[in-house]
Amino acid sequence: MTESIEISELTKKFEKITAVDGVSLDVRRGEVFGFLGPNAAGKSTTVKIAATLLEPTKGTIQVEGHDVQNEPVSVRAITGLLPEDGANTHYDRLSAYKNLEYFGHLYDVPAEKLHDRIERLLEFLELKDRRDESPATFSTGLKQKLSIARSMIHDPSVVFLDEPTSSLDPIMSKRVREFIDTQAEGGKQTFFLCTHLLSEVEALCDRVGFISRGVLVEVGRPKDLRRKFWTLRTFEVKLTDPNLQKSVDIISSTGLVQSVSIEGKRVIFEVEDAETKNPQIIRALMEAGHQVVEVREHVPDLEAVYLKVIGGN
Amino acid sequence: MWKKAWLMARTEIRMVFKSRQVKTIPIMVVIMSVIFGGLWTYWTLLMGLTNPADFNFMTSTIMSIVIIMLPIMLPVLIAADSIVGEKERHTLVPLLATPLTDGELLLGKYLTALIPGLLVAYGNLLLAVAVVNGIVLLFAPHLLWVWPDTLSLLQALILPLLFAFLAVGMMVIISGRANTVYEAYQTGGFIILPAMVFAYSGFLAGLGLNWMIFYLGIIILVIADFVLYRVAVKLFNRDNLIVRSG
Repeated sequence: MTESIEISELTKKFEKITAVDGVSLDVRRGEVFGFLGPNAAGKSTTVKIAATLLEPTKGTIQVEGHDVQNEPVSVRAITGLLPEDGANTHYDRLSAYKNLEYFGHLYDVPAEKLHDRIERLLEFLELKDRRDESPATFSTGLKQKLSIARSMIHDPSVVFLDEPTSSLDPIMSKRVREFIDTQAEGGKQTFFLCTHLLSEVEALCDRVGFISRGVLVEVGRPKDLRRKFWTLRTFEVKLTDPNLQKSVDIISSTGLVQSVSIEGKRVIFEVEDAETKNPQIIRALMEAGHQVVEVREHVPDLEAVYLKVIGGN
Repeated sequence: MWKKAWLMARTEIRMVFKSRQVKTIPIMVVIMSVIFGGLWTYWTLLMGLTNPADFNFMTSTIMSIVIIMLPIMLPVLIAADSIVGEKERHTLVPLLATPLTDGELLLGKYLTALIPGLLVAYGNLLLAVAVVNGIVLLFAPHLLWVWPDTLSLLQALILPLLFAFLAVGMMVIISGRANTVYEAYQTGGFIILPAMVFAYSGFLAGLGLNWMIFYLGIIILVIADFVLYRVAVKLFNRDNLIVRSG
């Protein structure tokens, strides 16, 4: 079995509201999967069902072969959860260390390993100096780091992270991303990430799923989604000739481009089958005496894909 | 099952005793017990009830309320703090995400509320015995150790457990529906507790305390405890708790 999470026809209704509507999705072992969608799209509800906190109205989820409804304890034993608003989920009457120790015991981490694991996590997440303080004295960022440590305390096979870097500074966000990347590298752990930060998904995720109004709209690798939604490729050309309108006319007259325009000091054109047509376009410009300094492709980022998919939906 | 529940209870007991409301109860119970026990004994002797049977009846009736019913306030408050407090402080989600079974979780909550309650109840019993017999020693030495007799002693040892178990069961059910600790305190502290005290004192006043009443009381309480525990387990629903805690 290579699937770590198998979601089949998942539906969750809250009275008259359908939060998740027939979602089917597989996440492979060792994969970092990004789950994207606007607020109230059904991301957190899906995670809560997968973490056995909510019961599905219809459909199933299997985590590492364990059904969330029939084997909830087995599922909870092998999953880690950073809940939405995770920063505010600590026992303020215990120190940071004791919080982690308590959860380590609840997750059956052997006593001889627990201390080292807590120390390692506190060290990595730069919480060591504050280990004996109550989380109540922490900033939101520090609390979030403690939540991340708690979700990893038992070295789970599957980790559900709901907005993991939402309240972290850029340096710590980078460290957390590196941490996730390292953990996922050997295919040891599967990460299921809900986030609004598209740059984070782009940097981390092997595949992404877009969910909107409870419906899974698209799933795929960021690269494939870009290709799917952008059949036309966009290029920008930097020229020595200050008369850019003349260059636009030349490119337009080739009849090879879908569109051409001026943006600042550059000419932008959209083309299909760039490998064949671009040399002809450049040749036409050079034959007209225009010196081409640079040709660069505009690669649409995930945000552009997201806006196209979700906006279109 | 016991290992995880005990681990949970041990940690939570440490935490709940950092709550000011919870810390106040044992102090209040002890003060009440000393003052009330002392005054009542003195008043009984002053009224001339120096016959051992009369003295034992008067002391048993009133002290059973002080010894048995007052300490129940503690498990009620701890249960509210421990169960609804988890919702209020947003610590419920990570706890429910651990591999605790529903049984372990509930047992942990029961132990968290029962253990301190029973420790206070038994400590209070020792104190009350010392206060009553101390006053007896000063003013009517022939009544020394008349109270507690075997029946009163057994009652003071067994009934706190059964009543506290009942109160915690009620609180578990209430806590599933209350959204704030204050709301749970109000329902538990102002409705359940007085209802139990009135029912119990009425029961004693009407029928008096004898072995048959004692056995009957135990049977009724054991059945009530069992039924309430089953209801609490049945009503315990993670989905509902998560949805209600937002």
